[in-house]
Amino acid sequence: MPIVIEVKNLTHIYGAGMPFETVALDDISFSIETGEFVALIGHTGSGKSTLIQHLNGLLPPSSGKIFVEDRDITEKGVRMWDIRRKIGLVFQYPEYQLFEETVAKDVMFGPKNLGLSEEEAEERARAAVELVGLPWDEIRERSPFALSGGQRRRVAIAGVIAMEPAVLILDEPTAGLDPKAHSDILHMVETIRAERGITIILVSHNMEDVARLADKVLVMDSGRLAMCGTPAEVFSRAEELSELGLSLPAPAEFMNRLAAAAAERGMEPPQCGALTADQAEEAVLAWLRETGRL
Amino acid sequence: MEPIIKIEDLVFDYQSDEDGGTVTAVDHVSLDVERGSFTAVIGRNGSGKSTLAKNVNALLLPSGGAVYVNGYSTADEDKLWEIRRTAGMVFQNPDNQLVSSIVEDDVAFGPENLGVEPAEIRLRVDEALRAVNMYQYRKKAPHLLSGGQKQRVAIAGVAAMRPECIILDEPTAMLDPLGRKEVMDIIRKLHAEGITILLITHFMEEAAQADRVVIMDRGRLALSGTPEEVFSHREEIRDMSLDVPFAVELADRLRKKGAALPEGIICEEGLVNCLCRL
Amino acid sequence: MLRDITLGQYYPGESWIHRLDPRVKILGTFVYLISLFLVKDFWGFLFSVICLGVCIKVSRVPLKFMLRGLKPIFFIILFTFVINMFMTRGTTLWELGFLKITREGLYNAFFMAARLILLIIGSSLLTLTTKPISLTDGVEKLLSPLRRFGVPAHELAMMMTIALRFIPTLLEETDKIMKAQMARGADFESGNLFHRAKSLIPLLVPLFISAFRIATDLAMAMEARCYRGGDQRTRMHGMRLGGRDAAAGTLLTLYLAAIVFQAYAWPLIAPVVRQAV
Repeated sequence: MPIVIEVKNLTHIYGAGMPFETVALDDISFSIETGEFVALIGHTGSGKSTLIQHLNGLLPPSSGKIFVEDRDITEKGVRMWDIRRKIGLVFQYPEYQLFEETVAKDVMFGPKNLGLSEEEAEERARAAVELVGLPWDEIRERSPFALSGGQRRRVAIAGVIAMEPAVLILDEPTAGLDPKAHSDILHMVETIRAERGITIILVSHNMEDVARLADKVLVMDSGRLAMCGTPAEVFSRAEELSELGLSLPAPAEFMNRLAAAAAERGMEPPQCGALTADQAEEAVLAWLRETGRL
Repeated sequence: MEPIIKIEDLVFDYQSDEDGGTVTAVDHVSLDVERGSFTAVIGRNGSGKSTLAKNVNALLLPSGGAVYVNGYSTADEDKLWEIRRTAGMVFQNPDNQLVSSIVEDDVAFGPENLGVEPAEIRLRVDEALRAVNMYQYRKKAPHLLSGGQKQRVAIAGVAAMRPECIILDEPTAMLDPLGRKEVMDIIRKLHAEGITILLITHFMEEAAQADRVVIMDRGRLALSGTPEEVFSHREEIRDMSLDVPFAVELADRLRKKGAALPEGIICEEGLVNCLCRL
Repeated sequence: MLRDITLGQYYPGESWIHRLDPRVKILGTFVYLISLFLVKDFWGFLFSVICLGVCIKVSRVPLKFMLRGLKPIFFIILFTFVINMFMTRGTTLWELGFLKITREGLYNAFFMAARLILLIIGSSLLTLTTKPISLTDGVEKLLSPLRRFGVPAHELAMMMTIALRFIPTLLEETDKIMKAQMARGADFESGNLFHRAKSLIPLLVPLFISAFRIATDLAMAMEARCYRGGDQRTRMHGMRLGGRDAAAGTLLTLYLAAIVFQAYAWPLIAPVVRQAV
């Protein structure tokens, strides 16, 4: 697969030369392939937000390079438009950025900023609104402020998708939602990825979602890239993660506890490494059968 | 003993913004909260759980039925301040409930409103800040604190009013896992010290820590009981678009595959023990 | 970034001036500002400069910090200076076409500029040595006797407190919304004035909505914590005037007396004194 984003030795220093100088990003390098589902984890203040803002040119690096489809976006003279039409960024609580009188106008804001005609912008808005699972004809003329919280969030996400980016970055898209709305939003992300073949970068605190969805996990800690690998690789390093203040997905956590308890009682421990509920169920059943208790 | 909060057939209606029609947010709910208990109210967004909480604090008044705090009806205007002092309230957004730009002044806000003597306020503020482990931050500005820390300051602000009961309206919804844990630890600690807790949440793992769970669905009280009792209604809970804790889910799946697990498993530790003993 | 802006700057310290009661400092600043309009000649100004210099020294706030406050109003000072220099009639010192500098003009220009500079430094000494929150407490206490005449002293102070608390929150919010709209291709920097004003709508609408949301949430949180206006309210930080404040009050009175004497009484009695000598 071709590489869509490549980050080389990226460093960002806030307030350089001032007494409160802080290194927000420290020599970060990684690459992302086209179509990959990447999860970015780390506790608050670890540098996740600073990193994603670099990826679409909202913050300039102190040093290092970022290539988007082989183009260096940190170079002088690169038009920000060209970056932002390739990399879509959805901030936390994106519903608070809505401002237009109607849903249609709000979703068309991005495409029109890209210089598209009214018709093209509207066509893209329609496609985007339908992709996030909302009925276009029903809501296009409604005020975004009259929608429910979950719908408003979808409209805001549609506003970024309508720019048809090659990469979609979502910063905690499920923050503050109840379990149903949470899983609905994640289904929506999967649909977008399946239909458009977009590369996804998901910032999340929910390890179960990360384990279930991601192809690759980036772990940030105090401005450094602490780990990078598949969910299975990253979540097998439980001790290191807990030192970084991060937990395992509930199924993995549970299997580790079960194995420890079994070992303590002198029993044969079950197979660890389950990441999802299905895998945990399999592992426990297998263990019960092997030890002749089922 | 008389329950500290007594909700009798509460109905709360409001006018919809969009079409002006009447929406019933709380629909004939009755609930008693015993002194010293820890009750969790769960439900989807829009299930009426926050409206219920605001009715207990007299921020909203019943359209029908009645709410009593310490025996006083919330509709009794003379007892309004007594009710709010007895049942303090912590809100969801950690930013939008702190009044002062200095932590300790914010914690003092409640006692100051109650007309407490200055020397006594000082004592209460220090005590409340120590109780939430925020004493070393007493001179800081709230906007420099993390979400979990801000929420702990908000809890201290209520604790300094010496309430008998604290109502927390989704206090962890906007926090990261670390902040959620900090806040839950403090809530459990206050409960252990004898304060009645009414926790509104949509995180099942938090609800599992309570000694009583109430599930609300579309304004009605759907299920109520100990966590063990409530979480045994797995299908109903799923039908209400809510999750059950992972241990409950896994135990259920294993039972279906023939594992002889007893009912009433709600935490991982319990499931681990049962599996090892099989 | 917007976050770096600091409003109502305070320079933390434990100096004699820092520890004065905010009421004394507010009154003192007023007295000083008034005195600047009372002085009439070089000696009077010299005296007020020396007194301010002593206060700055005692406060241990670096002079550099004080002078920083002058930067934004540098052009106003320059403008005042130039206008006064050219526009005052009197004995001509220098002339070029219609431009004329007079001796009186130069004199006026220096005094007006000096007055402005001292005014700014004098008031920044107040904000630099007083926590914003004590400042609002001081204002509330000073205004409270006027409540009888309908001045909402408590409400004004509460508004100042809340403003101080939420300025950083709103700045952060602005930063966030601005970035979110920029990610959608919004451009806040280029274009003509009309274009730029129009480009602010995607920023201002969400910002107003945020501000209203904060206001609603905060009002509810304050009510839940038994807020019911200023009556019956007590304060944790009781303000008590101590020996330090009495000393400051005495010095302040002496200062004002000296200024008034030098500017108004001395010119009257000077001939008498001279004659007697």
